[in-house]
Amino acid sequence: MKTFFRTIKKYPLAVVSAIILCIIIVLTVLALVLAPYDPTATDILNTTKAPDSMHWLGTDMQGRDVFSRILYGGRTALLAPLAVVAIALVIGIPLGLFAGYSGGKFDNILMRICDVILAFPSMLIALLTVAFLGRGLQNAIAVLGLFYIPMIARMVRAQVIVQREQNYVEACHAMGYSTLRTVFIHILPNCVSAVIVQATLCLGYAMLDLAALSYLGLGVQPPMSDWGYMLSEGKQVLTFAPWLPLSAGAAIMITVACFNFLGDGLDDYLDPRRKRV
Amino acid sequence: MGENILDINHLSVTFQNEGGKAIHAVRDVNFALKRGKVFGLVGESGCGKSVTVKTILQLHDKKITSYDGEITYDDQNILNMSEKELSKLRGNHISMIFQDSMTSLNPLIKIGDQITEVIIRHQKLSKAEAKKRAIQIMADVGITSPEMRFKQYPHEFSGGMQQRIMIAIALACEPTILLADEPTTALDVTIQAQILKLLRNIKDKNNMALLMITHDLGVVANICDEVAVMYAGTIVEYADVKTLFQKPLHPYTQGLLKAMPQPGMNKSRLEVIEGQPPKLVKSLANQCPFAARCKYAMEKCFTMKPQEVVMGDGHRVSCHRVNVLKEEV
Amino acid sequence: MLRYAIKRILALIPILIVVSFLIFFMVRLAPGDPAVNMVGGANTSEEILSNIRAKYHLDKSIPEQYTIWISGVLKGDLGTSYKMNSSVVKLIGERIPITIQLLTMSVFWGVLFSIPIGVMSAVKKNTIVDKLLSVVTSLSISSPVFFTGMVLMLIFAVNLHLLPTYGTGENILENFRYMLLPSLALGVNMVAMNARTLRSSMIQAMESNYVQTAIAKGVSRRSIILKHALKNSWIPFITISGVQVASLLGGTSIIETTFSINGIGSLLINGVNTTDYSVVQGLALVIVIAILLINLLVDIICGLIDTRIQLK
Repeated sequence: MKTFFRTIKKYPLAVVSAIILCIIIVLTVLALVLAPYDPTATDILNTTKAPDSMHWLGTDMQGRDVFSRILYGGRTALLAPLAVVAIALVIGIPLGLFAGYSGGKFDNILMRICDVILAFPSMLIALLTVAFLGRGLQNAIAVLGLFYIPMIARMVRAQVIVQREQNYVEACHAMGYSTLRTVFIHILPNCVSAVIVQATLCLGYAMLDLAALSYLGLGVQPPMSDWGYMLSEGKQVLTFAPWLPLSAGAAIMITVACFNFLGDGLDDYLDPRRKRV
Repeated sequence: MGENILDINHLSVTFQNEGGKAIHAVRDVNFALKRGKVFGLVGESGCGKSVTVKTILQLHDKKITSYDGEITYDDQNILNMSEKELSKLRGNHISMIFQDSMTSLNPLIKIGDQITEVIIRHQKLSKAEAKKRAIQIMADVGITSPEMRFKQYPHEFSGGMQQRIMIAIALACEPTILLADEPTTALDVTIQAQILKLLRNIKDKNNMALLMITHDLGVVANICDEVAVMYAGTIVEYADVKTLFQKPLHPYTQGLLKAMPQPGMNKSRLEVIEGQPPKLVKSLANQCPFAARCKYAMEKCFTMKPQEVVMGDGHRVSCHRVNVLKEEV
Repeated sequence: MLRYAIKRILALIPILIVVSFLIFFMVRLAPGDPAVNMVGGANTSEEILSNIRAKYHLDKSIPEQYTIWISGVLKGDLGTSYKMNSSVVKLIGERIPITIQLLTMSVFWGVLFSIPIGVMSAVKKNTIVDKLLSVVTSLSISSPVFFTGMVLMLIFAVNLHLLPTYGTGENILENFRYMLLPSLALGVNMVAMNARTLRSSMIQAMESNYVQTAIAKGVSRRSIILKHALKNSWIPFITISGVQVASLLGGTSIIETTFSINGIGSLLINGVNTTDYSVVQGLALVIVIAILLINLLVDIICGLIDTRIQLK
């Protein structure tokens, strides 16, 4: 308990962010129970109503309750980045592990490709690819997932290169362990903290990129509710119903900020030796 | 012969490390610098010699450093000076050259500008006058074709030439005191000799005081007039260079001298001082800091700090066996 | 210097060739018959379709199509927009000035904010000022560009009526007013990364031996920070700025859509939404070249600041 309080005192932002994220997750998971209205139920008599006791965050152009839509939209908004990062991790970790461990040609080629991909704005490539592969959330997730691989692979590789020189890896050689065993059972656990940090930060980036794609009409398609998509609806009513874009935007901003603060905090916490200067 | 120009009295320097522990880097150190003389500060790395010298120019991070005692220059205590007063002192009255000339010069500023910077700062000369002066000093420290070299960057110079530039910067305002923190350690032996010769010539020409930090007794023998041997933050022995080499009293000094190769000596006869210096977080108020490594250590050495004994010829030593030692020698 | 620059430019040629391949084949990746996609309906007569195929060389093999396209590109012809019935070069030419103005202003804001923030947080490292600045900049990248844009629009245009809500003006001068909010929204996005990079390189510089030398020379603190430390922090700062400008290029399509600006960003979204191949293809190429040129510029500036880089 004492250490818990000390952690809070040392990393207040990260702890608060983690708590807020937990609340957001609980709220969206319990949307079914907590949402006062059906998120798709339209009410033509009550369109673009300002927030009041009936509709905490007002209603949109079709009279749908914004608060309920935010709760339901949070599901997509949270799950989709998770899927993006999952794809990037599943492919990026093994690539990074082997590139870092074996070095040589494979490493060279892989890192060149990563460099080229990273040189271009992920948003732009994703936009083009999604446009041509066909719009929709699944494609957006797949494409972003692929473009996030370099970020993960590079970071894992950098970790492995440090680990490779450690004594325990030499011990693994001496014991005659296979490469697979050495890499996955012995090296990978030592890279986990860096992976967690990077993955947390990537969740924030993915959320922003997905929101942008949905905003441009390339990601989430109606009638699904999603924060990014709500923002593009909100833009049209900005002048007379600002609560719609403001609630959706605030939801994205708070969640992404929490991911960022949590990621930075974890970075400090998991690796205090390499304190970020 | 030679007036005291800088007096260090009962100087202690304590750092606060990240865990909040106090590191006693320098403990009750006393010495003085004299005009026209070279004072050597000798000891192993980590013994506090660099810390002592950097303290003279107040180069430590103020937030984590606390001082005790006084450093008197021109009737003023440097430890009480404001940042503004200090910046008038630094580079102007007291200059310093560092061990690693490569990293001690700003890699992105032309050599000439790094020299004129200090001249313009302290002597309020115009740019053109400062340049003239800088080129003169560059020539003085042995840089060939200084006009051309004036426009070059540090990476275009060799290690020895970089150190000459460092010396030029330090001497640009004709300081009264030059502090040299292992100025030749990173250099080849031949270059080392050239730099030492240069320093000695300049010292004589400007009649300034030179404080030389080194762990190399060869350098001491070459250039110093007086020497203090430092160990674990304290000065254990202080003497003029001849006395120190001929009649070293402190067991640590003796050990250092025996560990120094002599011409014609069999290599296997080199003695080493066994063990490690004590941790500087330890309070050494009630023991001799060298006790744990001293082959003559008695019970007293672990329970009482030896007082400094001053002998007639100015030879000072801190050891409980001082009377025995004197007779032996 | 010239030799260094030429070497860097020559190194771009193979990259450009590969990129042109990628762009061309990516566009061809699109599922379905491109001719049908172009017209936008499945019920178009076969005759019209074959006309379109002939006009856009869609009846030829893919390598042939590539040869036709790339030889056009080399002659400065990016093809014709099907939807807008105009040459792509002309379309881009008309719309690129406003985008350049938008980007330049964004970079201006980004640099203007990040330098003092970076220097300040390095000088006051680990104090409350530093932490506060870090929180503020972290928050600024947590907001989607279009949301930042909307909030600015809401405050300064809709409520305070200080600036135009959206669209563009008649000339460059007028556009400064129109581009103020969108460029601010975009520029703020690069502040966090830039300030952070500047902060850490400044801190590193402040702890370096040459800064110690400068202190020992009696140089004032102000001059140590602004001359000695900052000078050695420019290279990481400019490098990260280059990366950030490239990502701003991606942001332009979003911000131009939000503020209804007729630049190449909105042209791209338009092309994507109407499956206008030649427009998207041409724009992608232009954007890639722009990014490569930005990188080249960064390399050259860094080479000028630190002559050691040229030797490598």
